[in-house]
Amino acid sequence: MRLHLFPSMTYLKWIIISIALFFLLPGCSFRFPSIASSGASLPQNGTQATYDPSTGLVSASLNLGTLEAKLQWGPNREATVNRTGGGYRLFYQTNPNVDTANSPFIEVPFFSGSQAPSTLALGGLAAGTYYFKLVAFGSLKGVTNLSSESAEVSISLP
Amino acid sequence: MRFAAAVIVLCGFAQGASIRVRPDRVAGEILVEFRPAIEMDDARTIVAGYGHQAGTLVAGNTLTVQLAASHSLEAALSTYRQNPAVKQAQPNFRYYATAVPNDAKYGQYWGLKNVGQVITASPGQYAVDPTANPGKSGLDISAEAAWDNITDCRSATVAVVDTGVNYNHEDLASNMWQGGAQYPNHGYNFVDRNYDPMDRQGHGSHVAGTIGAVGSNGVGGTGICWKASLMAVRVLDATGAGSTASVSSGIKFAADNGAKVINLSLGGPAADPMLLEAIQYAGSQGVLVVAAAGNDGINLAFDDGSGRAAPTGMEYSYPCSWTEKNLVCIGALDQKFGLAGFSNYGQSQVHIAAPGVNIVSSVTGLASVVSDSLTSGWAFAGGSADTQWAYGTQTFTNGAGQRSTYPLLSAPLNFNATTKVPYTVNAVTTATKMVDLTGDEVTMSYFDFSALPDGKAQVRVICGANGQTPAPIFAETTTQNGTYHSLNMKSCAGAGSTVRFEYTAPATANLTSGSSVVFLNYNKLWINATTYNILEGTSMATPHAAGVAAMIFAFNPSFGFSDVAQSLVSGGVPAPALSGKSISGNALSAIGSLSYIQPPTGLSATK
Repeated sequence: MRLHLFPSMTYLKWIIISIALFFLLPGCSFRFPSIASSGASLPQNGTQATYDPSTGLVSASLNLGTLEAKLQWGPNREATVNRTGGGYRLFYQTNPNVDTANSPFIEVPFFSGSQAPSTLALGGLAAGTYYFKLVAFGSLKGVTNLSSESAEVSISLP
Repeated sequence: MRFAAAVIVLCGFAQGASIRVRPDRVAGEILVEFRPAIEMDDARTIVAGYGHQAGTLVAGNTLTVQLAASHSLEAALSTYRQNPAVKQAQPNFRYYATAVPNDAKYGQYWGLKNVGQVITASPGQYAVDPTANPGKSGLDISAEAAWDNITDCRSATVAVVDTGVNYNHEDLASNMWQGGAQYPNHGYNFVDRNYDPMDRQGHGSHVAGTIGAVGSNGVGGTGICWKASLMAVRVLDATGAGSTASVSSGIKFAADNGAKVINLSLGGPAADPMLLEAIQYAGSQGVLVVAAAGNDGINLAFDDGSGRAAPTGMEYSYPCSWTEKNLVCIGALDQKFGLAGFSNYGQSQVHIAAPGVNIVSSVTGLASVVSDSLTSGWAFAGGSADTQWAYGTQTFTNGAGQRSTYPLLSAPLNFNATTKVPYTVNAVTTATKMVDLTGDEVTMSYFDFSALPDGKAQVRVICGANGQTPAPIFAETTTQNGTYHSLNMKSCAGAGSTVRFEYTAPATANLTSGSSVVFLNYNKLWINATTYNILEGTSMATPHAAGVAAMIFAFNPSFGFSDVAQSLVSGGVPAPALSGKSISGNALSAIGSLSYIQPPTGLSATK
């Protein structure tokens, strides 16, 4: 089940005000990655992959267009990654050198079985080049531990 | 236990819980801290906009937020974290009492929990090392945090390839490997080639206790693994010495019988091909070998630019000087996380370091050391006056330049200044004493040296139990640099045993003096099931790492040895004393190793 938690239009107005306030605060910054080729903004809201038990498909959408990419990686073997509270975060940008401290990410959590997913069908993409890095995470006694980031890969669409 | 240039020498709250399944966070609830500029009314509006319910104000601008039933906690966190009005969002974690064992001696186990305690020796125990005692609170392997997650390592058998293990010890017995009817004593003895790997020295039982003394049973101390599977593999004799044959056989035995970790608190200066082959074989069976760096205080790399020379023949310490992928090499730390003065190091050889000074653990029994004063009680006989033994003294200078004079027994050698040969060639003279050699095991250690060129003077050790005719048990030609010996005196054990040094003068030589014996000790051992003692060495650091390795294996059933090695090394915490002196610069951390997650590999993107 995809969780789309962006607030309703009633509150969107307020959010815009709060964003403006945020940028006025000393020492605060926030970077909006953009798609260089199209000029469209990448979504900033949390995107979580969904799992369809009937097909085994793990998917997510950025709601930017109609194109799709398939992401795949070697599964981690840590027990904490492959149980509830663990999984992967796929960070993405439209320019190289994905900054995992600031880039948006798609969370691919453990759903069921013996392993967290190691594939993701990423839809809703617009034309352009996308860069990805992957980070694994797991939880011990409520503390979430992150791996360092994977090597970066890219794909140009269409 | 120092490495020597012999063949191969040693150098309550949750009782017995396995992986905890207690919830670690409040279900359906998170904490959201809004930025200072955000009014609480506006914050509550944001929360409501997400379909959630704002709860209590925890502190400052932090609200508890109850999630809609259809919303996952992780996704909600992700959403809030990316809202510019939010400073941070996190689960509302649950906290539980930390797992602390109830064992009486636990308070002395600074390596597991360092609170700056003073380690003290009880009567009958070895003296403590005062260098960093007390240590600094918090500098330990963070065992308690790890125990919150796992205390049962039985799925990962650890082979203690050592002097054996006292499998009857009160704190070890129930954690011994169960090898079936063929191995009724939980392992094998490659010294005597039988099925009784009883520890007749003490070192192996100490190692075993650090790895897996039964935890939280109210008895003795605790191991890193409260529940363990400890395989006893005896490859070193009562003097702590072994051979290529015994050690390599022991490693292969462990690999063939299901061990996942081999603790190798031993080493030697030779690049022994058969030992290397045994370690490689263990790797082929998926076994991680955790080995001691050695206790010579030397740089195994010799590329630090210091220009410091290593003792002859000790530039390398094997197995640590090898770079096999299934081999992890461990240095020793003191109570302030300084590199122990005796610990070998090397920026390409020593992976990490672990507590190795003033380590309390189980031992195989009560040990005592009786030192001979070498000033009285010896009867000198044989030969002629020019070759007879006598009492004397010798001044030695230690590494710090301090000079000390010690008594000794010396067999003088007078010679004819004209002919340059002894007055009495081939003269045989003796120094004899009646001594008490009672004990389940008795060894005799001494240092001998000669002013003669190597190979010119022969000294034999002859002994006999009360009423028996003394018989030779050891013969050597003494060396000018001297040699440390440790001899098993079991064949002469008794209350009134005879010990004799026999010196034979050379046939001819341009010589001026004979041979001397100094630092003569009798080491007695009475095996029991209730003794604990304090030891130091990289031998003691190694089982800390081996125990954590077993913990990692047990916690991560899909792990291979390379995964465990990486978690051990990369999951450590930086220790300034190890910078430039080890591969990682890290001190062992049990919780760090459990928490460590490898970066994902093989990421690809396709259309």
